[in-house]
Amino acid sequence: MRGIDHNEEMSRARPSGLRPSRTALRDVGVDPDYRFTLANERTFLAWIRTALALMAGGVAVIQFVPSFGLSGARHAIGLTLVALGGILAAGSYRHWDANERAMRMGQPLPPSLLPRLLTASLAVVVVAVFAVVILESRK
Amino acid sequence: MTGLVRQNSGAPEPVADVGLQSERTSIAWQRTALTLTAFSALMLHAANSQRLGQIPGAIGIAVALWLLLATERRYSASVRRVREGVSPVAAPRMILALTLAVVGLSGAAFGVLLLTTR
Repeated sequence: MRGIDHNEEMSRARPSGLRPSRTALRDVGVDPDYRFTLANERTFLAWIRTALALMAGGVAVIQFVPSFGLSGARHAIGLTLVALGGILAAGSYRHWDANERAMRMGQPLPPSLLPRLLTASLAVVVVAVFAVVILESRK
Repeated sequence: MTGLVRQNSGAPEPVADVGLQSERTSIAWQRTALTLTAFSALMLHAANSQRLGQIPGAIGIAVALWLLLATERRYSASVRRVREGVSPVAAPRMILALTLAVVGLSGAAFGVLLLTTR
């Protein structure tokens, strides 16, 4: 009897977001202190805003900055920023999900590679912009 | 919105929104929805009044509007739940919708920029 109940409970497990094979968030562990859930959410939102700001910067570089002498430099910089925004948005969702699961299981929060990715990419973009400006001023 | 937050009057009842957690989260959602609207508007501008190119921006603005409405609903529900001693829950649908919108807009922006400006 108990076994049947258990099976019923298993089959009632809700599918999770994009990956139906994965256990739904609500079925993992127990509800943590809601303040942590909300803080996790705000961190995700801050990352999304960062991603949107980078994407806006990318569009602005291509559409509104006068073209450099170097053909394609504007496009390379703008498209890099737009793609970086998309990658950060997807990464921040993954990180939010991993944090939420860890909190529900009472486990330590997983480390995030997003800050490193953002810093490294921005460093590359800044060096590229610097190089373009220097080359342009020498003409 | 802030009218729903109860004063901490030292009464024995639990305060509805300790540390204004729900309100802070709610305005973070509003801020994000506004940023999404701004970027969507930029996409509409970049589309140069071509019908197909306007679709991503229009979807972005629609998602942002829905998020603003959903945030209000969620804020009231969260405050009510805390008052009743039940834990407010995560908003996976809002989070997934926002992620898909931003990732989609990134792909769309990439395509539009490649195709329209040379």
